[in-house]
Amino acid sequence: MTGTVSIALKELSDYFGTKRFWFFFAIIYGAGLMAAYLGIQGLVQARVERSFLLLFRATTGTLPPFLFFIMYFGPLLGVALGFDSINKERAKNTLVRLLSNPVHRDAVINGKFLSGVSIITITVFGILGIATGLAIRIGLVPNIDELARLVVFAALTILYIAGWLALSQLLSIIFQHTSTSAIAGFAIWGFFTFFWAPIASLIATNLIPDPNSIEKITLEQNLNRISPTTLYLEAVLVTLTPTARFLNPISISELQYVVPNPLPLLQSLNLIWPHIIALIALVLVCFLTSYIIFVKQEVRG
Amino acid sequence: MLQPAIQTWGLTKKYGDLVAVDSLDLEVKQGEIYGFLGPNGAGKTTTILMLLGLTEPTAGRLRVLGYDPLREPLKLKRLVGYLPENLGFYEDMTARQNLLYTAKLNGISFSEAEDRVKKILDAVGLSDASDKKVSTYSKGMKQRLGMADVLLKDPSLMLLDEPTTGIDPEGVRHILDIIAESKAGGKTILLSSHLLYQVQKICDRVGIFVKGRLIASGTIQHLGKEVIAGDKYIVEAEVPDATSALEEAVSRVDDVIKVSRSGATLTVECKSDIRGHLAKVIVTSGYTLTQIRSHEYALDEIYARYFEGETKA
Repeated sequence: MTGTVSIALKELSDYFGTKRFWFFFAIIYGAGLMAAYLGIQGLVQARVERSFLLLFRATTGTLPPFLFFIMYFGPLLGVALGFDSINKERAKNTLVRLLSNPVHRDAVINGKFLSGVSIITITVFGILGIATGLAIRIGLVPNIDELARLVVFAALTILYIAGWLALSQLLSIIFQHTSTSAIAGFAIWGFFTFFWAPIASLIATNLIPDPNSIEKITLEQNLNRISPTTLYLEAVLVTLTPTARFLNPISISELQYVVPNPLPLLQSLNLIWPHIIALIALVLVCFLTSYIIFVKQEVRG
Repeated sequence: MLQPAIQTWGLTKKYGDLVAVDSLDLEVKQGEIYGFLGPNGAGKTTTILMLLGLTEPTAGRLRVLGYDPLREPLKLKRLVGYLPENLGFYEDMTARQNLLYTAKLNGISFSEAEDRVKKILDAVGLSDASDKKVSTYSKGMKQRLGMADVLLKDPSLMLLDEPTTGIDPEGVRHILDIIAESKAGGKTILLSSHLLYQVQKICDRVGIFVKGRLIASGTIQHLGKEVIAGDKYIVEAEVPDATSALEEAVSRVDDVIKVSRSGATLTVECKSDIRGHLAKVIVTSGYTLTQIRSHEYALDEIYARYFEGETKA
């Protein structure tokens, strides 16, 4: 454990001690302002609802809501933090020296992950803090339930980006060159973010030709849920929309029984437990694979 | 009797069809400097990595300081200092920061670590550059920093992989001094090298390692006499006015096997140490004898002989 903490602290000071810090600072500040701008613009246009949470999912019509930006570009933060974590040390010949000290190999992975998650946490809370501050300035004060939902939103975002961090760390173990692992990371990101939805649609259409059947829509949706991007989006939409009460398609006849009042947070969470578990499982799978490969890997000076 | 610091039985490492280390039986006693010599690619580094538990052997057993490197790696790594052949430091950090990080990984408290780092940087002659980033360091300075990194945890056993390769003579002398000092401090040292003349001065015993096999092990004297020359003694005499008549006279002496001459140097292979007798023969034959000595084996020579044998076979 001491090894894990020592390595995590060293990695953190690496981030803060260098130009990378200004890079993160710019991301946090820029994204925070953008979130507030998008949200406030969206709120102005929204006629019906005026809630604090709308800040993150309101759209101005020309630009997508803020949470889409996180969904698309959050993974890049994770990949950027992790793509060179192991293979850079290998290339610089520091890995063998590091491992000749009394630290377990998994402590190296854990330490680096921990420092990455710290950066992600700081970034996410920084962005949401700036946006919330600006919202309060214009008189949009969140209530307790909204604040709790904001925290869940933050936690989901951290989990989502941490998953990409774990994946890119795994790639940094598999690939010897940092450029290869970076490209692989971006390729996987591009695949799930842009290409998986059309592929899912294609598969569903081929299996069930009737485009309006509930089976086809369900199949396509479930296929889409293979992608962490979809899992995150659905989970966050439910978290930020207290009135959302179902994720799967339902028939019009069922819809007439729905009472459109907001749900308490725990009821909303009930809807997205599978998503949360699936996201956690993805992190664990990446971790476990990393351990197994790294422990068996040959480390030479 | 003290148990050996390192002991291996039939240690083998294969990479596919390639046998990197071939059933190695090695014993390094406590408190000695053992030189692990051989050309590049002989399996020296692989052996060292197995001793550290960083590489898993294909077959065989080993004990290092009483531990099995695969079963109790952390206990072992607390006691072993390792200097890799391709030494890498965190280039954006200063020498001091790099060493403080190593200290932290070894569980040395911060106040003690600061103290030790200062002393060790002094000892390796880097105190002036201690707050410079490692990226500004020369190869020789990095190597000394590597030695500092090893010494920092006050190891009982030091595994030094090519500690003197690629640095200038002054740097080599500095590193060898540090190694000799560590031995005086009671540490066991295993160092590998392909530059024989550099390390033969400080090694108590050497092992010659070619193509994954340890083909000879012992003191340099022992290797020279027993293994190469067999039971022969080699005497060299300096006779400035030597002629072929003298060669003939010497070859008639009892116990002499073979005589050869190049310039003023007469090389005599004989069955026993007959230096006194030879001197008498040379002088009474009317020649001038300026020097007579028994041949000291240089490691290069021993090594060249082995290597020759290998290429012929």
